[in-house]
Amino acid sequence: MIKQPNAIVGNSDLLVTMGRKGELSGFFYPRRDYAQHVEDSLACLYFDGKLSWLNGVEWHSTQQYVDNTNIVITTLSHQGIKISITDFVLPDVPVMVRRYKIHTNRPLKGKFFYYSNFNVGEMQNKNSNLCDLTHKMLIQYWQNHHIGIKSSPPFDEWQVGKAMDIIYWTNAKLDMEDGKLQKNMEDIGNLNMAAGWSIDMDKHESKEITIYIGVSNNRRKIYKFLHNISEISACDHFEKTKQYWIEWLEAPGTTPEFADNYKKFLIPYNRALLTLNLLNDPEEGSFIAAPEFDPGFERCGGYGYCWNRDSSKIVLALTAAGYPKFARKFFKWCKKTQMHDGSWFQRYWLNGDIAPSWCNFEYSTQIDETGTTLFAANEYIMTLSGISRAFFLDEIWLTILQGAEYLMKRTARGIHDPCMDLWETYYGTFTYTNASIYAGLKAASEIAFAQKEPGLGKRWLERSEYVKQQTLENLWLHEGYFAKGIIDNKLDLTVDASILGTIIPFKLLDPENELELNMIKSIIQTIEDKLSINVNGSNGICRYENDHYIEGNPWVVLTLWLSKTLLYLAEYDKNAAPEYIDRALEYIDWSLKGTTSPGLFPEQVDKNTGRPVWAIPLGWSTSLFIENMLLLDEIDRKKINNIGI
Amino acid sequence: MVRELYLFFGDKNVHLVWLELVIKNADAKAGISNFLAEHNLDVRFDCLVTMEQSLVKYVVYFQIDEISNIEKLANELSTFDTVIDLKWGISKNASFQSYEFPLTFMGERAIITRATTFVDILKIIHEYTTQSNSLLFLSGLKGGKNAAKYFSKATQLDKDNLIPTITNLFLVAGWGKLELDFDFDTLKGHIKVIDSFIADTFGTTELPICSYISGYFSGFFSQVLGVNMYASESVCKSTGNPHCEHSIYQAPDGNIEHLIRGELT
Repeated sequence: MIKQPNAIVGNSDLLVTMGRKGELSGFFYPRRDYAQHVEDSLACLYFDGKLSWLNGVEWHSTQQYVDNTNIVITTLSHQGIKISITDFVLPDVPVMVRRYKIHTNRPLKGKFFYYSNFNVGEMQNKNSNLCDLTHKMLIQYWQNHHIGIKSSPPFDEWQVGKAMDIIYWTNAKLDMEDGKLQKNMEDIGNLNMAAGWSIDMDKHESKEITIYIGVSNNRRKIYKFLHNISEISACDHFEKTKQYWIEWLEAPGTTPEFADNYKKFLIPYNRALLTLNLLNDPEEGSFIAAPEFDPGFERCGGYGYCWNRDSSKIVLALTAAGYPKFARKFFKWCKKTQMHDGSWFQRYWLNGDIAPSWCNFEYSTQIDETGTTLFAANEYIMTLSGISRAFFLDEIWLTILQGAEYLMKRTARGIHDPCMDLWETYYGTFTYTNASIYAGLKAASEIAFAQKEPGLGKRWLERSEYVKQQTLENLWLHEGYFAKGIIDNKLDLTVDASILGTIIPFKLLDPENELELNMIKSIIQTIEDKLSINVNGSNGICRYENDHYIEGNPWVVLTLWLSKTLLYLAEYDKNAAPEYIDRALEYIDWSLKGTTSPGLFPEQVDKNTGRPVWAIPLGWSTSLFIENMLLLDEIDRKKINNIGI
Repeated sequence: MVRELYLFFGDKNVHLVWLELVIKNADAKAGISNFLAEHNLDVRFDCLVTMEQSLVKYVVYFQIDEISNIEKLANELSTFDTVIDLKWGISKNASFQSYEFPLTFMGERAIITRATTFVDILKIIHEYTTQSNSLLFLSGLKGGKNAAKYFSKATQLDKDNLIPTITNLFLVAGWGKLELDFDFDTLKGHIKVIDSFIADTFGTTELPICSYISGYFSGFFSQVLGVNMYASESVCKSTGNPHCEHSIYQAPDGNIEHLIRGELT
């Protein structure tokens, strides 16, 4: 079932996604892409003879992060009862802390239940669960995957039972309906569990219950983690976690200064950095595009995998923001995952195994991913110097060589052989893909020269120029923009915002060349004319004309891509710079309006409701926001120092 | 439900006319019926619905060959002292017509579906999901509990009227004819389902197929009796028997897997 998150929390091993009312929708361990252990995990109250689920429509909710941390606070209110949930994952162990504070403005007598339906190891069946009364813990396991729940104060009653079985009377969900639990000790199959606490509160009274959910590949470790953790107060855990994230943000020592009128961007900028941290697999270096929310591929092909296209952009943004270690690790991963022919596959599991794909053939591969990877590697190299640069060049050289030769093979005619486009929808020859190949070969050429391989360098440079020349010749339209591509041997005149790739990041067009500067301006104008949709009071940008994917909404990715392009242009067209910056700011503001209440960037904004939809948080949107902020800050610094603009 | 929907098998040579009258009371219907009979109108369906302040809504459908006189007839009817309001219309080429939308049944929104449509859903569930019998049992359980809750609101539902209530419910809903043999002291019994809509429509199967109905019995009996009841289908028409039969009894205590499974078999 599709469940779109509103917030995420995690640490290096555990990623948790949750809905607007604090219900867990994803619990990923030991990797961000596998295994997803949870079907449902949330609390409910039994009072006035009825069960009230905290994610029910009757509960009004708000949700936000504690500034500059990956700690989420959800508040819920209903019938004079107010509940706040403080959620975070401890920095050093895979344990989620869920601190419930209940305050009532009416006498409240009944039960507080915490209910979970785990599919441990992503297995719906063949699970076991049990209540360990000695340690007051609920445990569920499958093979070497174990999840444990402990609480403070310890629960008064419990039920472990069958979530889906004709033996329905053991079902913990149904068992809560009469306000008391049966206290089964163990069960097997497709399972659920509930823990219960009696509540008998007078008006204006408060009560606190903290739930610890631990996960491990070792039962003893679960016991150890949960025992040690429950010895320390939830307040101390909170402070420690808060400090951890604040220090992580301070680590680079180069946070943008943000002038007074841009100060409002500081919190979202930090949120973006914290988000990307949680999308990264620190061991492998890869990133998921977004936490998986459609595991059954019901309305899309899923997002919980690593694409080189997305991850390359993410690591460049993080490097620019002062976190170069992510790039280093990612390119190591690229070296490991490169195919024998020098290309990269459509997408991968985070450990480097190829992921489920609809691009298994030469004609259906996505050549832009190879171009982008080479381009990004060189961008990263340009940030290095001295010994670390030399080491990295040596380390990556063979990968670059193979990648560049692959691009050479696929561009004998200048424009690339037919393949699939970046939207993973069309087969043909595309402007965006050609731009990425141009940049990839140019990057490889620079690396070759640095590696004292001028023959290869010259050859790849010449080919990149040939790709540019053929792209201009075959795909530029006298109407003043690039065609989307050539599909079925016909020029496809659809306006596709991905042609921005010829400007940013691939720089096929050079703004210092007057003719090409005018082409850039014309492209931007065409995109704004043809692809703008007014949502939330101003314009966002769609992917392409007649886009039917998820209702053809405006995308945060394209809107921030355009704003970044405008900011880039402001540096070259100095007379028009203030206007470009103003326009960029409008698009940035639009994108911020489209975030979830705690500030996560989605892929799209619903054109009817103005709410964030689809792939939340999306790494690509998030990294573009960071790059926009860094460019804005750079422009501002130059202004202050009277350099350029 | 029958009063809320009527099927008209389309005859393209005749016109289907409907009248919706608000009349002072139910007795006033007699005068209107006389009037319609005097004009030789072929009445196919009519019904009375009580409204507020003793007013009654009277809906009547009739077929006629010639529609030119309808307006005149309607005008005449509206002059009756007993008629407060009158609307009319012609349903062109209608093969079926509901005079009210949405349909309601047991106080809630209802739909009508063919047994084939329902069974097609079951077939898809069986084909594509694991634990399909459990899923359908749980769906039936919820349906049975909710139905019993509904009847309990309307009337005291207990062991005295449980059996006639569920028997009539199955008959009215078209699910099957029930014959119950249940001992309220031991909470054990058997339910024979004659012409079960699931078994009749599903076709031949190797194992009993009516887990939805077992769940429904479990939910209905549990809700009325206040204890967890468990029904399982021991004999099914789809496996070649003349009818289906469900055993029903109180859910066993304990939670040891093999013990529970043992008690259920």
